[in-house]
Amino acid sequence: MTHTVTLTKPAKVEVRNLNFYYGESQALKDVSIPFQDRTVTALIGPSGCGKSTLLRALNRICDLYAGHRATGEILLDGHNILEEKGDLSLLRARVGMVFQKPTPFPMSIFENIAFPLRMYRKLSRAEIEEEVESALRKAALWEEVKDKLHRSGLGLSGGQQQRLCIARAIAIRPEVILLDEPCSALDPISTAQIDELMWELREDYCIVIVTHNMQQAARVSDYVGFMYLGEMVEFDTAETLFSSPRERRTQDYITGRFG
Amino acid sequence: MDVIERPLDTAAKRVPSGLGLDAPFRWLTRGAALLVVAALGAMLAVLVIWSWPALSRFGPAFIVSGHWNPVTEVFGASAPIAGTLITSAIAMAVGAPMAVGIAIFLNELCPYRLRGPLGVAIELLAAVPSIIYGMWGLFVVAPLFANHVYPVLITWLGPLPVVGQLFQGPPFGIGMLTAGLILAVMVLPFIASVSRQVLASVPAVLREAAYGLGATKWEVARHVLIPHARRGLIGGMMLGLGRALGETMAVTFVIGNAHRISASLLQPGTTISATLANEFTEASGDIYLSSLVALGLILSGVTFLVLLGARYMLARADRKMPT
Repeated sequence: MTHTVTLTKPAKVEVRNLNFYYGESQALKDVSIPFQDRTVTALIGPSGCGKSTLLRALNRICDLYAGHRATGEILLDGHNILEEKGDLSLLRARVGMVFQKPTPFPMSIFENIAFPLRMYRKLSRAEIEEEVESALRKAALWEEVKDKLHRSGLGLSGGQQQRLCIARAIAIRPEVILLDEPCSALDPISTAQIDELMWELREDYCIVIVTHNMQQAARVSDYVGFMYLGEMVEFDTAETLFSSPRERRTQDYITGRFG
Repeated sequence: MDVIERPLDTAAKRVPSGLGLDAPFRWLTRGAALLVVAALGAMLAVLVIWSWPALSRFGPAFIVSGHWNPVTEVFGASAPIAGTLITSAIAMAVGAPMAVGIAIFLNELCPYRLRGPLGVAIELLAAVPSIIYGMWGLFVVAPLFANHVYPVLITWLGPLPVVGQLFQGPPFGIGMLTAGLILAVMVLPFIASVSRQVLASVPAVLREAAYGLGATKWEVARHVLIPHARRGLIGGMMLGLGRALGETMAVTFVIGNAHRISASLLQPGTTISATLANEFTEASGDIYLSSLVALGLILSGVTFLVLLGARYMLARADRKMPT
């Protein structure tokens, strides 16, 4: 890419020449992209273009499966996480993730957040209660669940479950939050709530969101990367990419001509 | 509006070639299904009819009394019933946690290359005929226990208050504990195999979400996988329990076949199926035979209840599996 995008802040995560393989097939081809701190970066592109793969490489959740391997560099604060050996739990605590489908654990709303909290810190009961409330408030869920904290998290609506998952992710105070199509299973009102939430969370975190929803990408993100067939076709500020894309393929995609 | 043209003629002209075979096919399959029900009904009927003389003569005492005397023809089944329940309880207490542990190891911790071979090895345990377990138990395990394990238990645990009661008497090597442990090995592959399937059915996103929070393998297993799969796991244990309750040959070899209830797990006892295997050939009197059949009826009842419980729990696990 000859064109350079000016970043306003230092990159929290810098992906350089990343190749990713599922067994024999290559899902990412020489992908490079910076993710700024305290910024929302959206990854867009048609299904199968590799955007979820890229996201899943960022906290190495892909390591759970055999035959998945990556080459290149993913620098988190300058340190290549692909070289991380042994226990990945500390990395994953720094790089939190929210999935397409809400994934509350089979326990109470309170425990869904208290459980990850206890994994990292020795906290008193009162401190845990405080942290749970604060996480639920940040995720804009507190008012709706404060009277039923000890009921199962599975009893909440889809949008509430997703906000619970976001609360759970931010409770352990990560530095980066990855969201993999967090709204694809939600209705428009819940989606709007999550959008608003992301707008607030960007004050504190480096946020990367994969989305199929172009309006959402335009609404919430500062930067956008357009991917196609495993390549990073174009990366720019949201404003530039959506108003005057340089690449023909980007233009075709955002105007709905394919994908 | 235009009339949609359909190639009506082709469908109308089609000759339904298999039409004449449908009725016989239906009867064939229906017959096969009915045969099973009929066989089950017939077996239950025979059990009830044949055991009636003993049950009507001894009444509730048949279940409560531990007095089993072929000479005076007085029969009480509490010793084999207790033996069946105790050996099965030992088998479950030892086998179930191990089996779930194996399942977690194979699904979560084991290197990918070893998962296949180890999984097959565990399932092969289920393919070993029970008589082999019996011989192994009698010729290998029992002497080993008599010489090295029972004396240690008697010396160290025997003097303890309350618990000590369980570890009293001479170290024969055969008895409730040996039988229970052999049973534990036998139920292991069943429970492990069901547990693997149930744990593998936990949605991938849930596992990923837990690992994504930085949870360790232990935390994921303890707080996410097991709670999510718990009903299915219990179902698997029930299937194992069903086998433990009914297992005959291996238990007969190592339990000692003594009609008495002893507080000590190290002493010989008997189970329902072991009693049946041992005594059917020598049951001379009508009432003796009838008592043995009554034992069989009780065992069928217990096993039936266990399987029913397992089905119920498995069905609940399917329904409760959140999407």
